[in-house]
Amino acid sequence: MGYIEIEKVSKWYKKDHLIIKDLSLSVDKGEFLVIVGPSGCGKSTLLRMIAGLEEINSGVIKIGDKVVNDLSPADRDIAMVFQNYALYPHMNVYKNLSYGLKNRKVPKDIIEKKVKEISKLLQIEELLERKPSELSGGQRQRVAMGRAIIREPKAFLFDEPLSNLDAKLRHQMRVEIRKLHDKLGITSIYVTHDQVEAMTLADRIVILNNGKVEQVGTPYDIYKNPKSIFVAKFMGTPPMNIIKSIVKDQKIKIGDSFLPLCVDIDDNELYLGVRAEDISLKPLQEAIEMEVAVDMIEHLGGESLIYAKIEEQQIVIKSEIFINKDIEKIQLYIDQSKIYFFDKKSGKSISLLSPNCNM
Amino acid sequence: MKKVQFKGGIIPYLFVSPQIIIILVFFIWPSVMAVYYSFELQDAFGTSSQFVGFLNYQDVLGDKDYYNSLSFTLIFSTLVTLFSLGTGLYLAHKANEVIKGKGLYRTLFIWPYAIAPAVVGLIATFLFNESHGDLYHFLNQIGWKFDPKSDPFDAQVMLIFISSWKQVSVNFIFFLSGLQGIPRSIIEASKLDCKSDTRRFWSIIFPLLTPTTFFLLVTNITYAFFDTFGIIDTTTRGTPMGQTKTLAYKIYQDGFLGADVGGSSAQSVILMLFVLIITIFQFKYIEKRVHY
Amino acid sequence: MKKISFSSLFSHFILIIFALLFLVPIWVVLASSTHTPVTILRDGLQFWFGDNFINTYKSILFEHSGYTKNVTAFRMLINSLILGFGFAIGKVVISSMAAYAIVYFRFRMANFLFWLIFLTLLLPVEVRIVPSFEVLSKLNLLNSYTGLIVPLIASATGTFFFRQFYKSVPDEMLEAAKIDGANSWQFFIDILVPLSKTMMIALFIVMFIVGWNQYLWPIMMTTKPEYSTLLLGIKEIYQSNFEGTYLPEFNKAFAMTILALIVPVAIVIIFQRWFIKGLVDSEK
Repeated sequence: MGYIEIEKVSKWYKKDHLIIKDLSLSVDKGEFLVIVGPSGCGKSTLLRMIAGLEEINSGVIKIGDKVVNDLSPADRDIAMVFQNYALYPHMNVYKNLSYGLKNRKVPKDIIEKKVKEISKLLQIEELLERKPSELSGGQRQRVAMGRAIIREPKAFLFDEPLSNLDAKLRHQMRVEIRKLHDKLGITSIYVTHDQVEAMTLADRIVILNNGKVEQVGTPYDIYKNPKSIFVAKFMGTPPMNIIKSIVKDQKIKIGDSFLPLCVDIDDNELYLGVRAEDISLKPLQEAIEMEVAVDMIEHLGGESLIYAKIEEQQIVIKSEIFINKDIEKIQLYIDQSKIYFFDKKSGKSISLLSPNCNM
Repeated sequence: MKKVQFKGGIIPYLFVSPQIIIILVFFIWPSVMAVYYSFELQDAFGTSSQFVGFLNYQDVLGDKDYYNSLSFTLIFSTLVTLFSLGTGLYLAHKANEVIKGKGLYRTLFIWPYAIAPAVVGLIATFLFNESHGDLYHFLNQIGWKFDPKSDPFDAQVMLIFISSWKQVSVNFIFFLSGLQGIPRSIIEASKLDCKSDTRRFWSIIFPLLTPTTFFLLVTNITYAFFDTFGIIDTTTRGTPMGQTKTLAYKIYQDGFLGADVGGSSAQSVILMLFVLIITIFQFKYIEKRVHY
Repeated sequence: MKKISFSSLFSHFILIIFALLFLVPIWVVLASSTHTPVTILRDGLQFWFGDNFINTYKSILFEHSGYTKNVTAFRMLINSLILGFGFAIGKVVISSMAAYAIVYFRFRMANFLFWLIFLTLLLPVEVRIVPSFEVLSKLNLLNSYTGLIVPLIASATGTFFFRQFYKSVPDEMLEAAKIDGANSWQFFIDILVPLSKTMMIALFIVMFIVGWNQYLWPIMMTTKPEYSTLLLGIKEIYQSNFEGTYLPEFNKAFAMTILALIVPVAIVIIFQRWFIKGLVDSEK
């Protein structure tokens, strides 16, 4: 039984248009769970349902064994950090931090102590008298987090808190957020559309697509064992190369090679997946070789991205070897064990090559 | 002003001159005349006048009728402002909270703005009329010997009610607009921080409406002082016993109907000074208080 | 399964009660206007329609009435329309031009003129009533459309409205225009005015209502009935009805009241969004 239980929860605005579809999820105490997905997949909606800012149309949400469906947001004992900080503009930092405690009738001297603690932790001590309009983006974000932390809630909810910051600040804050979590140990649910944030912050990742859970797992697990094309392409930069291949006589055609398959495939087509960094430019043992035409090469300093075509389908190769931009053809070597297979109809992954034969 | 501008020349003068000319002829000239007349006394037939210094002002300020009008105007304005501002805020808050029907309610509360004060007054006359006014009968039935024609208090209450009725719409529109301008995430953050609706309203929402409130304060006071002319002229016309005259109405009565040029001009100048104070207040405090 | 909370029901209840508070008086006047005066005298104000509708409205629109009995409500309707349109157009044109000069030009008297315009806020009509009559009389503008419209259009509200808007137009707009060789007149006509179309419509609508609803000014500046506006007409009917010795023609009084308010109310409802924009943006 998780610390936060989401049981078969659904949400709709119109009867035939569901935003969240019968979703179930378990969050462990103290874990940092990241919910990722493309725009419109319902991740923010789910978060807001946990917070009590959106109604739950069907299903149950429990926080610490208590069913919270009918509780007001203030009674659920959770705190939220918003994308645009949502600091109270007419109050200074001190009042912003203490407002929640004041409403819960915490004595003034305890409030003062806590504000001191939190502002020291977040390094915003000198800002206590200032109003939000007098703070920078990063400072506002820290005050927003302070406001959440000071209440010592059962869980933190983060709604894309770093989207409004510039790239450098985002990186910095990302590290700070994870460090804070490790220090305080409070259960956190973090929503983002940025898969880099997901990979670096999460204990576990939940990938949402169209109101449904695509996959749940540790970052490494999701990266190495994607259960569907969607997950495979969503995580990783650049996205995994997905190539359509022909199946004939129990063999699958890859480049000029034919790989024997260990099970019968009904279809005559299959999707092949291989990550950009798993394609080598140097000869490998037991690798599939092929020659491809080069479209374009991008040099990033430490590595290059090579855009090429296999049978009219575009692929990307990531390599540390410097390739001249004029090269027109290139030789590729792919380790068989690094290839993923996906069913054409369902998009789900399947293991096809012996000795790993289980459907 | 803008950083990028055209250089001078005659063109700006051409653009601004229509307004300036009209202002000079129809605003400045009459106002100067009013000041001028306030220092003169005209004879009974209006054929000659003589300079009398501050005599007119002394007469006005010593006039009991003026003080009646002044105190009525002040009380009247305060109450009308209070009632219509409070009601407008309350309705706007409620209309903003409901999930379905926001647009409908907005329509339902916006249209009274379009009715002229004079028309409102006339409708009220029908309703409060002693022979066939339903409200008149209703009030008398519940025990209030309502008689606006002879009881000044009744007349004043009636005026306050009518004037507030008309003004709710304006306050509603501005407050609704102000409420909708508060970012949703701040409201949501406050929902997490504070369970009580009332407390949330007064500690978060109302403070964020401060600029709107100050602006409306000035608007309402101006309305009560001046625009209620139409209501008064179609209902009580200052009766009974001159207890329902605002200062503006008194100027009209004395100057236009009573042909007391000197006295009414002095009153006009005093009123002008009052407006000046209000405007200074408006620009000083409203611009300052806008906090984010 | 959506729960309907008590507080939401209560909110709706309150809103509906107040909505009725505003609607019922108008409704009663409308319904009563369709009855004969005898019915009203006998039974009081009506809540439903009678069958005197066409009669009443036809008679006030096309028969002469009022004290001097030589002007129809139709004529008054036209006058109200003229006042409304004239005032609104005048205000939009004059204010946009003056605001343009003040915002976009650097010239010596700019500051002084700005404060002069600002001064008009301190001088509402009621304060300059009596001398204004003399001024108009001297200029022979009593009993004329010009006299009714022109003196009112120069108050500062419109100018501030456009000034606010022009200040929000990006500087790059002017720079691009200068590079394209536009002079100040062209910039105004070809670029600024099209940009401000929405604002102009919004202000127009607000000012039409203001112009139509003018009361004190027309009372003082017109003595001839053919220049009466609807608002004045109602006042006259009221006076001759309730204070005269004839049988009060309630239905006509009500009908004129409805006429006087139906036009501005309809405009506000139909053009709601523009109206709100014109109101709210003009005082920021």
